[in-house]
Amino acid sequence: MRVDMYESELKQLPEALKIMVVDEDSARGRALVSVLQDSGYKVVGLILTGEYLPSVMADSKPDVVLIDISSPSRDTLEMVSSIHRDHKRPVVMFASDDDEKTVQAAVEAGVSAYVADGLSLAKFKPIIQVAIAHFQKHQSLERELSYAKSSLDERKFIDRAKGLLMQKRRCDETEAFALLRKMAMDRKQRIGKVAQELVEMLQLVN
Amino acid sequence: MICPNSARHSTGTNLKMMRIEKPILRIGFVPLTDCAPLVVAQEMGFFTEEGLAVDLVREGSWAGIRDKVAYGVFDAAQMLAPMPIATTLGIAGVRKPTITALSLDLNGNAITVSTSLYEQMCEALPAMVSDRKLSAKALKKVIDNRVKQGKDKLTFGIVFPTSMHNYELRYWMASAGIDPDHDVQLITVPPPHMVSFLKDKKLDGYCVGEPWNTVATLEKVGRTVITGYEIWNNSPEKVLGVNSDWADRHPNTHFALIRAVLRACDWIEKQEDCKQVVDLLAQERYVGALPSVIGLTMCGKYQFELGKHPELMPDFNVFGRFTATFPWRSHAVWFVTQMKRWGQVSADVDERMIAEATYRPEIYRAAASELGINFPTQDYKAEGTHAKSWSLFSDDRDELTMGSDVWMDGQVFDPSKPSEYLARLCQASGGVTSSKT
Repeated sequence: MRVDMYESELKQLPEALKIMVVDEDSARGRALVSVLQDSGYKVVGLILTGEYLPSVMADSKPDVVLIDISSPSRDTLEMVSSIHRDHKRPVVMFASDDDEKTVQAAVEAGVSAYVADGLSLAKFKPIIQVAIAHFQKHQSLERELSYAKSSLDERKFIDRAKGLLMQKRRCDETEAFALLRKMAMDRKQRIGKVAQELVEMLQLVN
Repeated sequence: MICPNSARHSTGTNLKMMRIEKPILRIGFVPLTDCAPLVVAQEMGFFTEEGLAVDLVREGSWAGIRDKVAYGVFDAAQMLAPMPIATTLGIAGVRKPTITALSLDLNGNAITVSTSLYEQMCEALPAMVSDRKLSAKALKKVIDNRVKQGKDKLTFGIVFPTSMHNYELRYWMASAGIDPDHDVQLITVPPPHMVSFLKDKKLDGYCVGEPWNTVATLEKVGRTVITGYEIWNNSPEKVLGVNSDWADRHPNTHFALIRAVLRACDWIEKQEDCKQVVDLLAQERYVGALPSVIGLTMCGKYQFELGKHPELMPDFNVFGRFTATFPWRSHAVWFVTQMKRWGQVSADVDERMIAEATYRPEIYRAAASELGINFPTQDYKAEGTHAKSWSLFSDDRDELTMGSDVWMDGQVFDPSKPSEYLARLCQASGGVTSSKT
């Protein structure tokens, strides 16, 4: 889905850089557009999903594309930057050796940028910094935490189940783990899930 | 089976002696069926058993995989096999020394074209129906006809510029004298969008991994004209990639990671029926596809035509056998020859130096020997010389069963003579190359 151009709303700045925002998280994308506009930047388009970016870019000719780092559409730009070197306005990925820290911060925040070749870092650095700050704010901490939590919980249960098995079966750690895995395979379940059930069951019995 | 000796492996015995520098890891993968080794290592507890707690994170783009490994957001990731080379050289993106010490699989891609292009190709060269190696010649005839009629160029999709998909699609085309940079238009399309692009006529064909060829067939949108296996038997595909600095700082963690995934590959290989792997992969958080769809190629069957019995293709995607997990430096050399062929790197890049920096068999051997897994003692092998399975003997070790390694056009690759090979390829295809000398 493509959202209307913002051409009419923008504040006309001399030499204003044209920015395009691509984000599958529509709330984050829309909010970024507002933040950029409030800072006086010219946003020529917001792409939320699935469009073929090189065609869209051929139409709106942005100087800077800000894009969710994990967006599958990102790969469509790799070709443009690596193959079409004779293009009039080639895009290059923002991966400048001169400013490693900014790139690092962008990758960690989950945003990437493609800029028109020859555009100076000084000119677009403030824009990428706005995007980084915005993505950091929206970075879904919950999701990050829940991933780590489930994996750690699982590990805790596996350790606990191993301990219980070693005690009950008088076996060593390797054998206890082999037993757990066999149970998981027989039941066609995750080993973490089997370990959790085993721990809960043994607690019930005791 | 990785080797006849793997039964003697002892699990976890050395763990206590080795300090895992980083026990909690984030590993990126892309939802394609060849992420199977990582999924199995997670689900069957091989990571845990090696002392690792792993968050497997689904990533939408290959560029995202590359950047997140380069900047340390991921500790490791499933990578396109040429990616450690491309990232080390900084081809169109971040330049960071990147290595692999473990291959995740061989083969696994196919070339699919729209049903209408398929019909045109069959009409142009009817013999193609029974001999898929003729498919490129059929396409050449269709293209020649289109030029005569003044029609637009056909458009083909690849998943990433520095991917096996790109190189095998170009190889296939060039074998019939089609210049992929001039006679067709090549664009990059994310794998999950391939089928809809084909349906909407934004693409006439593509080269992609599974399940996206099978889906096109089942939805009657496209037909597979040749598989990656048929273009080059047992060709490299995905690897486990890490930042070179990361590997230096976490050697024991890297060993543990490789051991866990090696054991997963061995486990996949030893399954008598593939149902459990298919069920694991099908889950929403991994590939997120119907077991009946991914169950075809994952179980060695290929659905070339709807309504017919799937064809048996046991080697469509190889995870354990034929030293599939070994990071052959000769594969790296071959990738550099293709990067040169298509103008991605300059002709003066030293293939051998790049192969030695990015593909690290010595790390593989150290990890494999702890598991008692047999491995090749050489780093390079010729390609295109075995039409059947063969035995590799090295030193006093047990023999290794290797797969066939021929190309569709019978070319032979000697990794010690990359320039001669490249010159022969270009000559055979009537001068098709973008190489800048």
